[in-house]
Amino acid sequence: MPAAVKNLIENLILEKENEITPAEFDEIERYLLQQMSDTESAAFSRQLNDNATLSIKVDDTRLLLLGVKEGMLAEKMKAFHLALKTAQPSVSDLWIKRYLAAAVVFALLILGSWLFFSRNGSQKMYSDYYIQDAGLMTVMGVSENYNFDKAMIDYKLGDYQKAIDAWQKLLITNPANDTLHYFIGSAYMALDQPARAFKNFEWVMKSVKSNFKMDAYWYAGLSLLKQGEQEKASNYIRQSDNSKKDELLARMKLPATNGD
Amino acid sequence: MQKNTDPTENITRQLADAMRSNHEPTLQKLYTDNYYKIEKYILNNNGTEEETKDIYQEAFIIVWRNVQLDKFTPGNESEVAGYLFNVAKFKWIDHLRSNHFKKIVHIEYEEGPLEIIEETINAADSNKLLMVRNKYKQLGSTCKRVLTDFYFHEKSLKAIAAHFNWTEATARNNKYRCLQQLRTLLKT
Repeated sequence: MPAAVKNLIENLILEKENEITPAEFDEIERYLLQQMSDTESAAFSRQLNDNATLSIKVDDTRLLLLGVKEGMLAEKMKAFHLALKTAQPSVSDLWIKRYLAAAVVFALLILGSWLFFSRNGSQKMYSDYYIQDAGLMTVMGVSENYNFDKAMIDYKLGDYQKAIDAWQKLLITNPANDTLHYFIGSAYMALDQPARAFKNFEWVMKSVKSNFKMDAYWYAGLSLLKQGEQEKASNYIRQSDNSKKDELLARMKLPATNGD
Repeated sequence: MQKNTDPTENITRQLADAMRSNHEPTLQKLYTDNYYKIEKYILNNNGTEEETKDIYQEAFIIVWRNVQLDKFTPGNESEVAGYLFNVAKFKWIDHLRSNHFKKIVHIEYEEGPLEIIEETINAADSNKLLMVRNKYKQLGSTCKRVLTDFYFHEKSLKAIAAHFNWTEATARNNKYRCLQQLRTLLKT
């Protein structure tokens, strides 16, 4: 008999020996899933010691079942990942709740601001001139700007911290992005955290070609005004192109800009 | 005989038990809560989002596997977070050190025994598990449902039979056939 044929027959015999019948599989599975009684399990363990073929079958089944469960976990993770990356705000009721929440927050801010700023000169001026940046137009859809746009909607709905958190994640891959810094700064202004806002506006002011540069000067000045630093504030306000800058500088009793 | 406990019933169970019984909300929470820290690390160390996802999911499987094999019994979420971060970090370092990675990069890491943190099974078994995972994808939807319900969600054969309008014996036979189908796929 040719050697190749002999090998083939030997392999077939070996395969047949290693084949697990349904009854054998049931027993092995009950052993692996710890569903045997102590006595039964002890007897089966003794069989394993004496029977190398059975031992191989058990090991093989153990790995197979673990691998199957890992395959299942891998499929679950696909769904987890999708949910993580595309978590979208649900429609209608959530929007109504958010609008209501934003309206309440806004009303409280107005009331609180009026009570607070009326006591203080700088802050009175700040409250007279600070109008929150309205944000950018967004189109909800699947795009690479999806996360940015989603955060912009949070910003517009008054969920500033959520917007900041999302934009800061985007900063990890775009650390010098002027748009991100500008709107993080704007969100911090809305959260009444002028020092943090200023740091973000600083990034924008350092950008050579930023479209937000002039606005950043204005808001950087206002953030300093809010902190009571009128003189430093005036340096930034003067460099902005806001139509009310001279009026504000006049109220601060500081020289207006030349030629404007 | 399957475990009688419905994994969704007792949300106060210990974390390790929840992971062992594949309590899905727990697994999803762990996945979600720990992703961004690892993403930040990998992106800061020359990785891409796609690479982050692959490394993170590999690390998640390793941590989950070690819980299944009783090699790791977390007491709380911080322990899972720490272990997961270390496994992902060392997986990433391993990737950067590999022959396939030609770029010269600077990476923040301390020298560490990768094999201790990462693997508790041998390389041959690890390869076999990977093969099973890949071939599992090729099974039909009924087989996947039967096997997932039985092994992952720990449902009884009776419940599976009821879902498909089968007898319990048919459910048992079909489960066996699905695994045989997988064994056949592994030989191809």
